[in-house]
Amino acid sequence: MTMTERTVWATLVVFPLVGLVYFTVILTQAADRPLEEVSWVTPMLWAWGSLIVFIILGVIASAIATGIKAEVAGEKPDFEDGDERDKLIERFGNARAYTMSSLGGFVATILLMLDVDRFWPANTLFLAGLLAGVIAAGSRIHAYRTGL
Amino acid sequence: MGRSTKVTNAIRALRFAHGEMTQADLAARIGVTRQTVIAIEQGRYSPSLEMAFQIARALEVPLDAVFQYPDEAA
Repeated sequence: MTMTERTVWATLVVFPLVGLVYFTVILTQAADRPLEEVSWVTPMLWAWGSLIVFIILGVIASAIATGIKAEVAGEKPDFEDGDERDKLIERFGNARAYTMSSLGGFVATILLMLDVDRFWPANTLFLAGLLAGVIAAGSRIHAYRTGL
Repeated sequence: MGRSTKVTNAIRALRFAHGEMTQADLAARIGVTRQTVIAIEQGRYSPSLEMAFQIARALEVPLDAVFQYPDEAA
C-alpha cells in the first residue's frame, strides 16, 4: 500500500467519524427542543477544525507507517505525492464527489429560496460536504482495490 | 465500478527473462510505485501510452511484446 492510499484510508475513517460525532451532538440537543433552536454553529466549527486536524494527523500517521514498513522490508521509503495511477484515481474520486457537492448546493439553494431557518441549508451543505468526502475516499479505495 | 482492462501483458514473464528484474526495480526505472507495477501486471490498471513505452524500453523489447489487445472478432 502506498502512502497516498494510506492517506485516503485515513480520510475514509475521519469523515464519517466527525460526521457521527457532530450529528450526535446536534440530535442530542434536539431531544428537548426544536431543531431550529439547536446551537449548531460552534459544534460545526469544531467539526471542521477536527476534520482538518485529524486529516493532518492521518497524513503524518501514513508517513510513519510507510517509513516503518519500508524499514522492515529494507527498502527505500516512498514519500512522493503519488504517480500517474494515484493522480488518475484521485481525479476519479473527485469527479464522483463533485456530483454530491453539486446536489448539496442545489438543495441548500432551494431551502434558502423557501426562506427556511438557516439551520437547514447550513446543515445540508455540511452533510453534503461530509458525504462528498466519504464518496471521494470510498471511490478511490475501491479503485485501488479493484482497478480503474 | 471496478473494471478489468482488456489489455493483457507479459510483464511478469519478461521481468524474469530480463535478469529476474523485480517489481521494485521496474517501478524505480519507470518512476512509479511498486503497487502501480503490480496493478498493471494484474490487469487492474492500463498504463498511459508513455508509461507503456517506458516499460517496454526498461524490458528492452518492442511495445507489442509487452502489451496485447484481443482481436474484436476473436
